[in-house]
Amino acid sequence: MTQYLLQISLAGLAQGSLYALTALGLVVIYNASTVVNFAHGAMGMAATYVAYVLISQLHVPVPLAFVGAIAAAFILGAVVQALLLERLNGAPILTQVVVTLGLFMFLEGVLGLAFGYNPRPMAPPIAIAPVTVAGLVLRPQDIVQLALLVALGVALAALFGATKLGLGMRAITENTYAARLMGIPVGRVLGTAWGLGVLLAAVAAILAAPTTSVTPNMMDTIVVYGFIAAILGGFGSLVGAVVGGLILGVIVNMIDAFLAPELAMSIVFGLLVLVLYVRPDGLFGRKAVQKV
Amino acid sequence: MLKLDHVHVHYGRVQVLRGVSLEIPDGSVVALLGANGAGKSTMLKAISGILRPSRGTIIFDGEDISRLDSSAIVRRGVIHCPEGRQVFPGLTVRENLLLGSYVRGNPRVQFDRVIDIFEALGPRLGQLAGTLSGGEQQMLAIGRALMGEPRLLLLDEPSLGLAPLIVEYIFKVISKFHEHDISVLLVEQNATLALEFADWAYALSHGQIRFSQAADELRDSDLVRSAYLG
Ligand SMILES: Nc1ncnc2c1ncn2[C@@H]1O[C@H](COP(=O)(O)OP(=O)(O)OP(=O)(O)O)[C@@H](O)[C@H]1O
Ligand SMILES: [Mg+2]
Repeated sequence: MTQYLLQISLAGLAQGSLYALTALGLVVIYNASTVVNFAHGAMGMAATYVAYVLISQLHVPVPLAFVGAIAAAFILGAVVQALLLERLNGAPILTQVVVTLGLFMFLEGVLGLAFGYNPRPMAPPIAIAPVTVAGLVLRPQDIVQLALLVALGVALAALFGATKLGLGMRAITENTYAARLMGIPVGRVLGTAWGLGVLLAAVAAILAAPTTSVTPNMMDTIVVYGFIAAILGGFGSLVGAVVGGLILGVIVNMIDAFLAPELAMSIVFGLLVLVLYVRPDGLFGRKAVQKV
Repeated sequence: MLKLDHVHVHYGRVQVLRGVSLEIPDGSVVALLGANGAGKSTMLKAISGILRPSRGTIIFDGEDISRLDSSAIVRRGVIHCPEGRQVFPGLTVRENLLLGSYVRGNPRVQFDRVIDIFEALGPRLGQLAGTLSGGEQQMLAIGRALMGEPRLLLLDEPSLGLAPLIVEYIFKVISKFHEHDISVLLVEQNATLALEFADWAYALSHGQIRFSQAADELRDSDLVRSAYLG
């Protein structure tokens, strides 16, 4: 029984790493621009189509196709920030949120028109048979997902903790006006933050593609769990996003295994309400630092 | 060094600056006086590129900077230390200072210099800026501006809400800026204090310059003082 629980938890952590990556992207974007990006999943999905076209229609080698898709995701994020949101700078946040909602529907619609709604298969990037260690079955795909989460998490921590660009992003979060007075090129830095955020969504989507297949709505469930993970973690905390995503993955996998997959979303929302009732700022939310 | 020529600034349809002209000679301290709402902070924001003038030119070192963005203006050495300090409350004192040199290369030398000037900040480098006292925050705001290696410093009400001793200390620092080839445009509610340190003064009211005069003449002219400066 413990073996079985461990196995389910392991698969849950792997699934949770997708939620965590999605949540990290949401938080990076939100921290920089205070915009909740409802097009997040759709933008990751669009990047997955780039990978799909490169691999199955242009026969580009898989690793190269992934790099291309990730680069496209970064550019998509930066362009959306520059073309749509930079214009709306100073507009009520609700307006900006409506724009991201519109973009979500636009992307799903356009890719649906272009490729249809039939799921298109995507082979797992690594075709190795699962290995068994101490009675636990380790799927290479799961290991890759967790390893990428760790690597990207460490890279983000280094970016925000030890680079000028990261410090600039945090300054914009704290006080955009003062950031401009420091000479920080706010538009460019926000564009970079959006690029990074969408890049993270794309990594999650590409990793999910072998399981979900490539469809316009492939990210719909994952991005909802990504949002929940981010909220659980305090919507703003990177550590919170990762922990929230991993916990959520395990919980969802447990519900799938012991109850019924159809119940997962409602139980998760119930738990979310419960957690927020006890801790309104989420698990890792900082109380807003006192404004001066 | 800096020359404003008939600068107009609007907030939407509301006009706040109505053709302001003003000059700051190299190495001088120029005071900008005026009542609440006169448009003093607005003028500083126009110079530092936060607001774009609807008409007029702002010439810095022979170049019109009125259409440049704030980043380009900071890089030219025009640094705006804003009203209300505007520190980054959730970042440490060290991070606040480093952000001041965002557009510069190696900040180390300047960092040591600033800590030398504002010794009170030294032991607080790891502390969050939001937890500093008002006086310390003002020192941090000025120190952060100095990190940008200013040639022209725009100082908006540095004495606001501070105890006399701290004000005295801060103005002693300001009075030494000319030794480092830093010119100053000083906005102050406290006219007596400003005139003590300034070489020249302009009085702004309702978005227009009412007069400009050498500070020492203004200091002694009771008539003008009672009429304009209260
Ligand atoms: N963002 C804004 N939108 C609209 N009007 C504004 C804005 N900022 C300032 N104003 C108006 O412009 C006028 C000048 O404001 P400004 O802040 O420049 O005055 P000030 O001389 O610095 O005053 P104080 O001494 O109180 O700081 C005021 O009437 C103010 O209401
Ligand atoms: Mg003001």
